Amino acid sequence: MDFAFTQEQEELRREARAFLEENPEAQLAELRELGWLGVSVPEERGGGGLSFLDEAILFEEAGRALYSGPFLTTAVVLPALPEVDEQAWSVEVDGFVPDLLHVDRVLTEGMQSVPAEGETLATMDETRPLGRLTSSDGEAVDGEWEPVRLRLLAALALEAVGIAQRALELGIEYVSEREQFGKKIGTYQAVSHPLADTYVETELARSLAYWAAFCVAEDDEQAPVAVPAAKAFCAETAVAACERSIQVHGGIGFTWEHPLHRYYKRAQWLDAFGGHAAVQRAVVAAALLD
Amino acid sequence: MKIAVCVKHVPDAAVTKRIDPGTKRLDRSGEGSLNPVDANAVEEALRIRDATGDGAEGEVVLVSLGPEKAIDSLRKALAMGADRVLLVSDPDAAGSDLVATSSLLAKALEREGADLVLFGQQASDSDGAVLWAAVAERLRLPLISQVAELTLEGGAVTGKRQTEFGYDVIRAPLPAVVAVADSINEPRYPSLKGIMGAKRKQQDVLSLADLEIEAERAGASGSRTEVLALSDPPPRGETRKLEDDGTGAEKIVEFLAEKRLV
Repeated sequence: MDFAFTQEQEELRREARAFLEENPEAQLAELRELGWLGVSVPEERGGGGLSFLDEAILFEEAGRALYSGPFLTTAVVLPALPEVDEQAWSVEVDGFVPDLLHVDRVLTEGMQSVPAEGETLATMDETRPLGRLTSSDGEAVDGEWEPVRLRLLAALALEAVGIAQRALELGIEYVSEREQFGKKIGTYQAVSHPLADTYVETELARSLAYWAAFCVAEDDEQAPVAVPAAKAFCAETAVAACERSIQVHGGIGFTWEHPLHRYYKRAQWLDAFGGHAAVQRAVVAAALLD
Repeated sequence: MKIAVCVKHVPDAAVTKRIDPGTKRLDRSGEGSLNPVDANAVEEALRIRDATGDGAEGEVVLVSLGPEKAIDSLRKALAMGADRVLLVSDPDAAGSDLVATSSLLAKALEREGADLVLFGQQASDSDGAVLWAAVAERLRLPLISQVAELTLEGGAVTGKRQTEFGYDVIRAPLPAVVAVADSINEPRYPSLKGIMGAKRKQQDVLSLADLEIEAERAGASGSRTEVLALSDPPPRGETRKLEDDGTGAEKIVEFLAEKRLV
């Protein structure tokens, strides 16, 4: 059994990373041009005809680049539509709509397609504000909410892996350069050990997230457990990764000038949206015990 | 319209380059990638192919000389939209200098008989910037180099050639060889579909025997140059450090005057 990424998937990761590093503010239309939207939708419905596992790589890289456009929500809604369209989509979960201001339509838990109208709330992660819809009445969309919810939570888990990975890289870069008492601070155990912990957790988080993505892609019966398990662990890993990275950065780590606080806020956002880790673990427990 | 683009698999920019003291050759064992300016040549070829419309007849062929793993880099150009690859790969071709390389590439290009041959201006590993001239000479084709703008019209190619003092505008009848500068365009990012479909495109790997080239004409035996010695650049000369106590600017002017630079 081969668990490795294919050559094409590695290539996709490389190109996605290069593109997002060059164009962190890319418009959704540019991502559509690159074929990043509707990846896992069958070709006859206007999609890419590939797997959610391929799409998963894009979610992780979008997280790593802290991409702020409504890519994730649009990508998880498209497979629920009869045909891939050109609109920017968001979802309403627990009454909250990410990026309400920047999308055209919203898919609700009641499978209604609603125009994106409402108020935007003040949120900690300013790059992905939450909104509330004025009205949840719209046009009915055929199909069930559950697959959309699973895709959404899996995508959030994958984004969290990207956040953790970047926080780790930033930490490693910094402690490999910064000197104190005539030595690189990375040579001190109190600095290197937390980064090692982050590395271990990030690798585990990635395994869980891609397992969840695999289950979603294959419509596997384990999906309802794999997805909350991944969401719980990946989001907590991202938060811890950012906290440790801020810690090893010393003073600069909690300044506005350094990007780390943005990663930290996104990590907190990912943990909260769609249910905190404790909520996700309760779902896992129920599946194991009930 | 058939366009051949000569591309090279070079050590990735992120890899620290190292010369193997034994062979006096660049160590190519690390991660490789497509030579950056070659992506501009591929982009230009794709634009020409797509602009000429007749999709069925237009073709962009990548031609390269390198180890088998060069295919990995060429796949990026396939993902951008090139149609197929012709890679000349043979252990006997390793270590070919510019003269030998130009003869092998010319042989492969003769076989393709393209209307237009594009090169990136230079490779990021050797920075030779003469290979296209040698290939054009062997093929007896006109050459325009350092091209920042390219137009095709009525069986001729016109290139705006960047020079130190401005631009030369040069026209040549097709078939021709053109070396492009990185200012010519902005290479596209491969689309997801392009990336996923690249592996299925035709990729021919030819040996020297396939091209009917004798082994003596390739590699070290086919080369006309020999690397005798390699060394690090000499260390920088004496440096003087000035502490700025408010008279820093004056001291710098004094120093420059002393050296007769102002």
